[in-house]
Amino acid sequence: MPNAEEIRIIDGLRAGGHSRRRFENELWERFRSFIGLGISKYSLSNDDVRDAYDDTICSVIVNIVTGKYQESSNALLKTYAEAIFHHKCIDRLDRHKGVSEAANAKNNLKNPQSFSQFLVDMLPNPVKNTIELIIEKEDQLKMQRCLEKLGETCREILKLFGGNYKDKEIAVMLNYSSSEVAKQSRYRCMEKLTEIYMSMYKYE
Amino acid sequence: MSESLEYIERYFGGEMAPDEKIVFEDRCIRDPAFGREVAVYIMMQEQMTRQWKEGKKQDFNTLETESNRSRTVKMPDAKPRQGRLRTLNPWKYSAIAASVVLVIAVGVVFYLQYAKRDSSGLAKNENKNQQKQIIDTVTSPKENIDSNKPADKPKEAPLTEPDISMYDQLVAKNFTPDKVPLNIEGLLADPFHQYERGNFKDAISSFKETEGMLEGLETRGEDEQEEKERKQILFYARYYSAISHIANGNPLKAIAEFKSAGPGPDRYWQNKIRWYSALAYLKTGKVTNAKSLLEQVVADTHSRDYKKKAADLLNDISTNKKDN
Repeated sequence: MPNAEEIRIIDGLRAGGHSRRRFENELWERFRSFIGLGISKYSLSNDDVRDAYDDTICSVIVNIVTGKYQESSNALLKTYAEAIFHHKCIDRLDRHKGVSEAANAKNNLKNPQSFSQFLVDMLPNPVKNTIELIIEKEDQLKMQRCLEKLGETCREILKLFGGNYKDKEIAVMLNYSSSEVAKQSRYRCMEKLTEIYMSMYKYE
Repeated sequence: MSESLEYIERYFGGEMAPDEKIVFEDRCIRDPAFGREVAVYIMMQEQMTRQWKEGKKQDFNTLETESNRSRTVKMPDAKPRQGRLRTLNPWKYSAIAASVVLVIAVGVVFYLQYAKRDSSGLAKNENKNQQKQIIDTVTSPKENIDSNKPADKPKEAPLTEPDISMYDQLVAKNFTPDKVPLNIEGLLADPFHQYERGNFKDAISSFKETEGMLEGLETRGEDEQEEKERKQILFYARYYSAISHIANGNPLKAIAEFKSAGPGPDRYWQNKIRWYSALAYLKTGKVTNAKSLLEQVVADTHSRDYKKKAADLLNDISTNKKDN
């Protein structure tokens, strides 16, 4: 179970809105000592360890906000974050020192999933196989190029949505008159993005 | 298309009934075009998450830079680091020294005035009821401040000069202004800036201004988030104003501010309030109230940060009492 201060941060993240950013920064500040430990333990460069740490905090934030992290069934938040950080460092080791060495270290670790994997995992197996095959064909960079063709407002909305902010929070943060207006704006941006993607990378 | 989006989002948002989900999943397999829409939705979600992460990493970079910079900002009574003095503007250094002297002078004046009024009995007669209400409310936050409960605590013997200075010493030994929350923007930026620089008098005025603005602000009744944020800012303003009062040598005002701040949003803050209220009470010589609060801190399993401090202070109070 997380301690009182960790619970405070978790509650602050789940509260959302403008104040969520403060708690995100507080979370980042709280486990900063991981960076020093990572440098000594994994023989990675400062930049790699730092990048792994930033990734860890982002994953922890997403998992808390989406409900994937549950206080009642998890250890201290620190222990949870440490496990993710360990995995992220191993991934980077993987890239530098070859797959086999990293694979041994990975064996006993839980795999902290990306959000898309989280979504795919919600599907039952036969559907998952179909969807995964489709996804495997596409390159993430293609989507990035399409995103760059959108206007700044759309990119801002979608970025907040990517951070698991609700439509109600997006409405407040971007000064929309209501959550419904924010939601419709978001849909328009996603439709536009889909149209751009479909036109650039046609399916056969 | 927005109908498809809404439909897909309902599935991944867990809003569909079981039979609806089966229909959705079946359609993904049988209708390639729909399957592609779902795949594109998932890829979009991934990409939006990536964008958010990149933004967060930039925020963390900024935070690290600011954090490193803020660690070099000195409180007026902090030890100067070797080599830093050479880069300081001498006028700035004089201004910091003058502020420290002013704070000490104000503190001495208030202390002398308090000691004088206390011995004449005037302060007791004028403020007896108000103080009792404040004390009762801080130690039992749920009680109504306007209730006229008869005093049920034994009256403490009037303190002598040695007692007061002994408790002052204990407070001085244990009091450190609480750290401010990270990355504060907006209404609290200026008062926290004053607070961190040790300009407690200016910080108090600035916190007062912020409170006044927020109390007059009407939030949209249905916007829970906005009301929650307003209450949080109000709480911070009152809490840190109270600590500034202690630093400024005005424990009675500190106690009043803690009372208006309320019990705190969670046990972490409740224990902080208990700790600092105890120090304020100790400074006024209300040892029984101070001890009661410290015992509550020791007894609370969530008070990790202050448990040992409270236990040590209780021990010091007992030791000093025996010696005297």
